Amino acid sequence: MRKADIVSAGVVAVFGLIVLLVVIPIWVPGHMEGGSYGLRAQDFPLVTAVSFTLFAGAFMVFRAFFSKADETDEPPITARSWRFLAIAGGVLAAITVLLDTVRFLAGGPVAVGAFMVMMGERRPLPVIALSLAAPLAVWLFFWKFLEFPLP
Amino acid sequence: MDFQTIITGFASSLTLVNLVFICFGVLIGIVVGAIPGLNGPMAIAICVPLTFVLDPLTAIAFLIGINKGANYGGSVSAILINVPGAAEAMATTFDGYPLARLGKGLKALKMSLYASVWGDTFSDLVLILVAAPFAIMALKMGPSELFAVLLFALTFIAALVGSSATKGIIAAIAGVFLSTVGLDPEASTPRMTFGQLDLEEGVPLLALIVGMLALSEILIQIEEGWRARHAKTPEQRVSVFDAKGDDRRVTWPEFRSCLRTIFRSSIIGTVIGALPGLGSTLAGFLGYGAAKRASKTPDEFGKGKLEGVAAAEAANSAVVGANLIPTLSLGIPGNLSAAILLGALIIHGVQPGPMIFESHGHLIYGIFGAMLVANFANLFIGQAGLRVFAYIISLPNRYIHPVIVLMCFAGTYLTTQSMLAIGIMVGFALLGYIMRKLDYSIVAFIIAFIMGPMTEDALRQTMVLFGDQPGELLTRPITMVFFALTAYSLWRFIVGRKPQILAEPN
Repeated sequence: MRKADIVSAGVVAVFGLIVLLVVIPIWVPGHMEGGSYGLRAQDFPLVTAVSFTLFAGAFMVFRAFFSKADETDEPPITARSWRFLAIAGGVLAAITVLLDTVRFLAGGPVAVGAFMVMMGERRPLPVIALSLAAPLAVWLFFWKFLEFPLP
Repeated sequence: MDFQTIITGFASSLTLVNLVFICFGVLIGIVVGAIPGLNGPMAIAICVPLTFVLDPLTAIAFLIGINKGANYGGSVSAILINVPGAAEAMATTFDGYPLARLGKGLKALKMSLYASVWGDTFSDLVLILVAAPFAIMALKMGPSELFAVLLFALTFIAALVGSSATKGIIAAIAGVFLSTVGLDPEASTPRMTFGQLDLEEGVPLLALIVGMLALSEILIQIEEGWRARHAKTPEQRVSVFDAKGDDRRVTWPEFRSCLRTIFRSSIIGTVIGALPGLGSTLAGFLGYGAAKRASKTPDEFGKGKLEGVAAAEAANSAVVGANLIPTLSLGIPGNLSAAILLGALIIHGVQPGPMIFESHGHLIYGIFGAMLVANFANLFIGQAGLRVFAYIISLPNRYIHPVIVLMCFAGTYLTTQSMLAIGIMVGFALLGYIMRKLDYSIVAFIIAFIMGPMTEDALRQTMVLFGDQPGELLTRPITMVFFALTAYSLWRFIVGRKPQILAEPN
């Protein structure tokens, strides 16, 4: 976990620096509205961003220089995990695009079917049956019964 | 607050609609809690969109029903398959599963139910008695005191949940930072909205919770399934239907012999629950440990002792009600379920904090009434459906999880009716997956995100009150005490070693 801690804390610290140097100056107004004292819109985001950047930086330095290397320093996220995350992220992104373009009744079955296959179901009948039944039931419940719009 | 508000509040929890929704919530909760891999907070988060058409009391009563049901439901799989449905039922496996192997599964399930309902009711009564006086005390605090208390609570929670205090604190501060996205509370100037109108009301709470809690958990389980597909695990399931005679029920002498243990565990659970950040898992272990130490036959623990089941279940269930003491009186959620309930209150237009008893007294006492009703519902539904729940735990996840994923997408869309919310949910699902793997507490992150706006408000008011003169803080003893406690907790938990038992699994 030591290496993972160093890398992850480093990533958080870099993210914090980007937030402090780029995001906040551009996307949060720095001038004071109204009265002459109190907090500017920028102040609280700045304080929190500085805090997590400092904590992450200090943690990275501590883990890198002041803590012993673990003999069995296995990475908590292996190459296999990253591959899985890429696949899962791709599937979730595809479902999002499908729901946006072909709408819920057409995208829902793909979502259910994809996750059933990812979870190891290979028999076509259960995959097709649940893929059709679940989105239809959810759609009927939200759209027809509760009258809430779905994508 | 007048007596009439209290009485009408309690009475309003007894309407037919509320009773039906409480029972429905308890049923969902037990089923979800019984299925390993699913848990109460996840179920509450997914069901929040279903409550949009309900009035606030019915909505919160329904969600509380889920919370209470899930807390008991976790023990079903703990006893029957030695896999706790949720982390809090971990201590229940110590004696629950051995009892089931001895053919006393039904007896263990029933004792678990009775102890759970007893512990829960005890802590609800404590909540009803102490929450209002706590809120009155909190009302006497100024913004600087409130800010100091919130800061201390955030540090305490962040340091205690998860296995690393430093990583918990980093996650918590990041959560507070994320809560600043949206319109500035004073001047309504947009902050980090990147020109997106949908972000002006901030990062959608439900998208964040559903993504981090439900979807990321499902991703983790799918990955574990991929790894374990070829590894055959021995069947551990135990049938509850082979039991005969007294093994099918808890006799009165057996229950009486456990009463002292149940009472002790209820007190332990209530105290643990009232302290933010300490969860039901710890309460279960402490209750079990205390019962073992107090027993004349400690060697029998772990080999199928009914008292062990009672001790663990009464303690972990007593956390449920007590958790709402800081939640309702100060706006500080004690754990994840309380944080999501707090989020649901906000979604329904109720602003939590010390003023809640003044501004929504009727609702709060209605919620208290609903909590007591939910305990009875838990008892009756749990008793009637034991055999059904025993079957449900054998349902394969590959049929349940895809439907949950679909509900996550549909529910998240409902909150803002924008695809941006779904994109945010997907983003947080992936972030949640990485955070879980790297041991950054998602519990601290979510709780801090919910507490962020309140903390900023308190700081803003403090700065205005003191006219930008921080030296004025030195004249406020309570503020200084809590600042000192915050500094001490940081030092204690980061520099010193945190006891392992305090670590709450994500």
